[in-house]
Amino acid sequence: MIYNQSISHPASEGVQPSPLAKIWRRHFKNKAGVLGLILLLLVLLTAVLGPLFYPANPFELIGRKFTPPGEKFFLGTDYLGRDVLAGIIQGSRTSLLVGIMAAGMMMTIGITFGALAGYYGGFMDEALMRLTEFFQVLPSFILAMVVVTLFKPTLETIILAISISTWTGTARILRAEFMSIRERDFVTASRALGSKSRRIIFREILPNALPPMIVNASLMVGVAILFEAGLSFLGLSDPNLMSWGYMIGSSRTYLRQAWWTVTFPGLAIFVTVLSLSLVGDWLNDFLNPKNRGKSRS
Amino acid sequence: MSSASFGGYILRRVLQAIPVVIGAVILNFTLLHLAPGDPAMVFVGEAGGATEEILKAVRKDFGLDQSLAQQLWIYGKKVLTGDLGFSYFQGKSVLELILEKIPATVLLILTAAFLAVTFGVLTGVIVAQHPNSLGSSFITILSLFGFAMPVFWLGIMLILAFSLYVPVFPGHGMMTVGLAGTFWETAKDILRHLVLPACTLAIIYIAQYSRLSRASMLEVIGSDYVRTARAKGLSERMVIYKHALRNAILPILTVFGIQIGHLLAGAVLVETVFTWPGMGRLMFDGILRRDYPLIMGS
Repeated sequence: MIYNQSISHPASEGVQPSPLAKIWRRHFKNKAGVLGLILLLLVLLTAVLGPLFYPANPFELIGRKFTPPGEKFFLGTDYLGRDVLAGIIQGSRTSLLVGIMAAGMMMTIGITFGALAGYYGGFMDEALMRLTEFFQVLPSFILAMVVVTLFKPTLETIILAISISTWTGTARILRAEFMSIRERDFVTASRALGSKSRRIIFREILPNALPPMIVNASLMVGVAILFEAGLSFLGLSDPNLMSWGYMIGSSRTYLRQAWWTVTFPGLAIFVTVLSLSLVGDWLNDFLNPKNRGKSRS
Repeated sequence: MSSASFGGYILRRVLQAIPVVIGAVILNFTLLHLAPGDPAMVFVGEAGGATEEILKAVRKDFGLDQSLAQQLWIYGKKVLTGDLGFSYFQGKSVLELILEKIPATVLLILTAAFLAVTFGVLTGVIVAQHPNSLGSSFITILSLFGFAMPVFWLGIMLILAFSLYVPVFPGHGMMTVGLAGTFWETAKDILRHLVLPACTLAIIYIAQYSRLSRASMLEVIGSDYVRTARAKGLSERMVIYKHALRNAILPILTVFGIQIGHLLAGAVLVETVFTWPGMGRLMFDGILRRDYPLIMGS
């Protein structure tokens, strides 16, 4: 965001974009957002309504193993004869659940840290930022792996592990927002009226810092889904829940016999995360007043 | 940059790393203690029946009867002296296991990083010269893909395409089993095995570097000294690659430093997919067998 702001001025001056590129860009931005919304809606509908229309149990050994995609099983069966489509549908629930819960939790941690550091500054800022940097240096996925391995892989520990290893970005963004907003006149005015710190943080500054947080949230759900997929691919998934990563991880040895057992769950992850990041970009254009004119020009 | 200040810089960086290491030790220790289950119980349980006396003896042996602070101190001292514990499953010390596997991981990560930076910077620089071209949109699309693509799935898809359907490159391992050739033959064999895993890891990161170098180049191209260089009548190629790129590369190097850690995380997954015998693979095996000392050490 910041980069785009600072660089587009000196460079685009004088250089006239080709008409083709202009058309492409004007439509690409919006179309990408719409495409993202449609895909996201599709995933949400699958998760919410899927089991109603297709109530198969993804763990049940329902057909012959390695049945290719076709009439009987739309996406085929895996090495145990489990229905891949049922797995995808159940997996969408797991992915979204973990993604949303973990993103919610990591945002809570990040917002708390960022708000405190950015509002109070000084020693508080110094201490909290050192801690943030420490977590930033650790390879986050490996930290999540270690946490899930030590505690049993259940839905809760997976969510916890993902959120404590990925909150740093949120904290940094919010800290920067707080630092710039706390110097504005309306905050000074509120302080002059005798508002308490808590009121200033929650009622004055936080609402104004929300737009970047909303964009961040949609990206973070995607990140959490990728983390969950990676963990369950390595076998670190809740054994009671079907998950896309688990489907890929357990079937990949049979790649030669059955490409579909690995390809479809991966596509599902890709489409879900892609839709979230498209929506995130679109929200960014939409919510960020600095970009608003640009995307329509 | 003079060599003296560079030495000072390195020293500063190393000193800065000390709190991180101490933090990591404390974090490891805390996690181990928060984890459910009594380690003495686990250890005794695996060996067979457990009476109260044996449990006590084991606790004393491992220093588990001392206070938390004392245990932390002992743990810290052990880590500093390179004693990372013992993997009972593999029958080797953890440090030994890690040292065995590091070269393979380093080879993979460095190759991937090299590919990602080279292609990323090259595309970024080319696109920066034509900021409003289709190429810009291409980089945007590429980075969307890089973000949304699960790295392990990309690896599997590459195996499917280039190892099973069109068998050009081997899809697993680091060397052909039973190959006993000259040094060059072995090197060539490893290289062939390296192609797919390194590309998998690189593809995810190329877009990040091209985005970054495009942004950084655009900034530099707009600056006065580049105009001066042009005014001197230097060729466009000279201006871009000799003058502009040299300054634009700095932020890229900074990000590269930060990225290495993330590449390591990606390597865990990629090594698992390609059965590449590196540290990631080691950690994966550790997870499968719940081999705590091994995972913590890694």
